[in-house]
Amino acid sequence: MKRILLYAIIMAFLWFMTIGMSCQEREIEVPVLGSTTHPFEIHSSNNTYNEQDVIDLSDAIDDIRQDNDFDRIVAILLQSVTFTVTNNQSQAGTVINGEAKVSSTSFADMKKIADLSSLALDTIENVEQTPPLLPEGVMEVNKAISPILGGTNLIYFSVGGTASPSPPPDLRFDIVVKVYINVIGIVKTEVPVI
Amino acid sequence: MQAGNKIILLFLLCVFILSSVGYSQIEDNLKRYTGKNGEGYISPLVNGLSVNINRGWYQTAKLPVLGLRFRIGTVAMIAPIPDKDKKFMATPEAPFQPKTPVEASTIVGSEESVTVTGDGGTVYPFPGGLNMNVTAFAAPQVSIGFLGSEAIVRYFSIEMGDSEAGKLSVFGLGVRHSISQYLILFPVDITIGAFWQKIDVDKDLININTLHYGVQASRGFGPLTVFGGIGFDNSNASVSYTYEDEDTTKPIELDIKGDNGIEITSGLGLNMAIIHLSAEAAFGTRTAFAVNLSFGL
Repeated sequence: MKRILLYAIIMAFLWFMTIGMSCQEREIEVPVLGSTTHPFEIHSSNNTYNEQDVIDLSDAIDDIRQDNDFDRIVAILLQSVTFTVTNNQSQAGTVINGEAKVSSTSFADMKKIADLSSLALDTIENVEQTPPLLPEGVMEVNKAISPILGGTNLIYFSVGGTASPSPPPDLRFDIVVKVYINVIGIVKTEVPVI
Repeated sequence: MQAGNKIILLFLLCVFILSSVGYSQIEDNLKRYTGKNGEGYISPLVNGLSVNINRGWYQTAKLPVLGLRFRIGTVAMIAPIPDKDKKFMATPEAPFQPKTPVEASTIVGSEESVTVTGDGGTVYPFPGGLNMNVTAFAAPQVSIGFLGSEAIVRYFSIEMGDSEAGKLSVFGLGVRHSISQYLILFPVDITIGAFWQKIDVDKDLININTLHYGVQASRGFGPLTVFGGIGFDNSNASVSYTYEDEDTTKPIELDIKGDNGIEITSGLGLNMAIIHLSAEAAFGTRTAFAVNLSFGL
């Protein structure tokens, strides 16, 4: 009887410490924030400005892919777009208005992503600005970076508008646009379970 | 090597590997967070581990007044994770707008990420958790008893997954002293004791310090020993990691105070010559269980 009791307890003990406490695989959704900055140099001799260029997010996405042990990527989504005015050499008191536009395909079919309203260059210089984003522009960026939709990771981006007062002799500053994206990947790991 | 020894080695290997499971993923997930969000995300794991590792220190309150008692063994501990620990209120971080709090997974919560929709349909995702139901830990333990007192040491260190993930190590010290030796014909054995431990996950990523002190009692019935105790659990932790994005590197330091409080332990042991088996349950701010297998006098 004693021996049966001993064996029963030892078996229960071993079950608890081995089979009873086993491991299970988990697939965790882990978002990783990435960003790319791109400067637009504004140099205009009148009171209008318009610059356009392609922002390539391939490196940012590839870096995240390489630095993380993702089993697979489930989504890449825009988190925010900010801009910072730098190197302002315009006339003191210059205020700009305008808009930022984006496209996933070309400069021909641009969608507005943000308004640039009444920005006094002197006061916002070197301060990162976070404008409210517009749905049609956000959708266009998400289309460009979506792995499911076969996005090219290229954003056709333009900034343009007017300045007041009219610049003597010219309008000269940089807008550094920063695009924040989240790459959501699946990481596999094991956890103890009972 | 005899088959019995092989089984024991295999079993020891299993419980130690179990101790490191999942922890190697913690830093990667934490790096998504700064400040308060990081604290809310990691706290349940720290609190669970703190309660978890404070168990299994003793199998009896009977300490030898004359002679020497030496025991070597292994303690395995688990603590179920309550549902309330699986979510916390997280707030999106700048430059995302708006900063509306949302219920997100903690490190022990659901594997699925939670997203907040912001201006124009932008998305801020919070990482999923490890979807854990228990925290588990195991450690080898040595005790030496003499002159009505006992010193206990537990230590182990293991690499987690790959070299990048770093080490998981635990070091603990305990002392007990018999009170019942001064009480003539007292019906139960009584000791007082204090137990300190330190867990390090990946060097400085997580450092947990725990202290448990209290009174223990036991009574033998043939090969069986009924034991219990009442004491106080005290723990604190520091978490250090670096938040990084393209042009920001921000060191994050979190100080987390544990769920400290009174805990009551009850357990049953079986002693067969030099083999000592025991199981215990502890009830307090959380519930935890431990089994202890030791060999010795």
